[in-house]
Amino acid sequence: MQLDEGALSTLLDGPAPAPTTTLAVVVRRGRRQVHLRALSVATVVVLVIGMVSGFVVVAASPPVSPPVAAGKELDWPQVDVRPPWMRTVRASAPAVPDPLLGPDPVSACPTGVQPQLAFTSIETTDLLKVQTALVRALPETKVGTWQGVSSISLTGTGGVTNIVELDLTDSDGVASFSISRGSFTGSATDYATALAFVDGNCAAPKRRTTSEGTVIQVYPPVPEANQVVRMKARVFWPDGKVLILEARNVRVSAYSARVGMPSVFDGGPVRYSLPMTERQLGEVAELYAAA
Amino acid sequence: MLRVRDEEFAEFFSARFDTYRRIAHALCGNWSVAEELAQESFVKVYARWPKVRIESADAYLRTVLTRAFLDTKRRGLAKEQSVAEVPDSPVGGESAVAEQEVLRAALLGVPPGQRAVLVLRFVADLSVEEVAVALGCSVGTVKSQTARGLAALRAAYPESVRCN
Repeated sequence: MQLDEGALSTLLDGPAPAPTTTLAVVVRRGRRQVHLRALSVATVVVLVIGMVSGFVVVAASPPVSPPVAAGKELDWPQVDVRPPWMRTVRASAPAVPDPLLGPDPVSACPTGVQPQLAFTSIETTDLLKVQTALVRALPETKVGTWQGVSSISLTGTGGVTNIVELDLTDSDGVASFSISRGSFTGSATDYATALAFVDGNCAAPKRRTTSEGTVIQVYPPVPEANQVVRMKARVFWPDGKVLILEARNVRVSAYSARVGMPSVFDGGPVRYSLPMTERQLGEVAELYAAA
Repeated sequence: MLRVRDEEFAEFFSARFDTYRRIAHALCGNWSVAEELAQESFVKVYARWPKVRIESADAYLRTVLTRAFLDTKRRGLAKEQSVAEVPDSPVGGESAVAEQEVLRAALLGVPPGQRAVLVLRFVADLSVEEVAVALGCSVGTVKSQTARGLAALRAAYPESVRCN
C-alpha cells in the first residue's frame, strides 16, 4: 500500500461504537453553562459596582479633621447677628451668598459702631473664682498669682485694678491670662450680640446661655501686631455685669492694654502658642459663671 | 424564540455529531475520549448558539473541537489509546479495516499539533485557509505543519506496508 494523504480521508469511515451522547444531554449542559456564564457576569458587575460605590463614598466623605482640632474647639453654636426673619429664609436657601440677605455672619467682618464698655473695679471674688477655674481647666499648667498691670484708666470709669493678669506656665513657656470687668444696660443677650465682633474678629463667637440667663461668649483667637495672639471670652450676667477673660501667648505691657493700642511685649522669651484651647477657655468661663 | 433556537440546534446536532465524533477519534485514537471531546464541543456551541451564524457554525465547531483536543494534550489528560508498536502488516491480510487501523496507529505517532493539521486538512477535507482559521494560525504555518506532519506519518508508517 502506497501511503498518500488521500488515504487519511478513509478514517471517517469504518465501524464505530454507537454514540452515547444525546441532544438532551448537550442541551442540558449547554443551558447550565449559559446560566453559569450569566452568574459570573452578574457577580463581576456587582463587584465592580460595589468597588465603584465604595470609592465614591470614600472620595465624597468629608476629610477627617486633624486630631489636634478635635476636642479643642467648643461645640457651642456660633452667634448669628441677623434678624430672625433672615435666619429663617437663610435656613432654606442655598449655600451660595445671597446679596439680599447679606454676608454670612460666620465668615464676614462686621461694620459699624460697637458699644463701649464701662469698666469697673474687679472684685476679689472674681479673682478667686477665675483662678480656681483656671486650675481646674488647666491641670497641666502652672497658674501664677494675680497682679494689677494697669495704671492707666481704660475707657469708662476705673482705676489701677481695672485689669489684672497672671502667668500661665506650661511646656511651651510662659503665657498670660487677664481679666477685666465692666457693666452694661439692657439684656445680656442683646449686649452680647452687640459685642459679637468687638475684638476685630471676622468669625462669629460661640455662645452658650445658662439656665440663669448668663450669656457666655467665646471669641476666636485674633492675631495682632508683634506676634501677639489674644483669645477672649465674655461672661454677661443678667444684672448688667460683664467679665472679660483674655488668654495671650505672651505678657504684654500695660500700655497695650488700652483699647485700640498695638500690643507691646513686656519682655521675656517669645511664645507663639496660646496657653489654652478654645474649649478650655470656654470651660474656664463656665466654671467661673457657675461658681 | 428559545424553541426555534433549540430546533435549529437539534437539526445541526443530529446532522453532524457522528462526523465530529469520528474526527475527534482520528485526533485522539480513543472512542470514549472522542465522545467527550465532541460532546464538550457541541455544549460550547449550544451555549453560543444565539451568536453563531448557521453558515459559520461548522467552522466554529471545528475550532472548538481542535482546541479542546490540543488542550487535553497540553494538560496530559487525554487517555489516548497508545500503540506501542505499529504492526508490520495489516491484521487480517488485505482488509480495508485492517489498513485503516495501521494508518490510524501511524497517525497517532505524529505530534499532536501536526496531527491536528493533518486530520483537519485530509480527514475533514478542509482547505489550507479553513485549517488556518480553525487553528488560529497563518496559512504558511498550516502548509509547513502539513509537510512535517506527512513526513512524520510516513516515517511512522511500517516499511513493509509502504513497499506493498
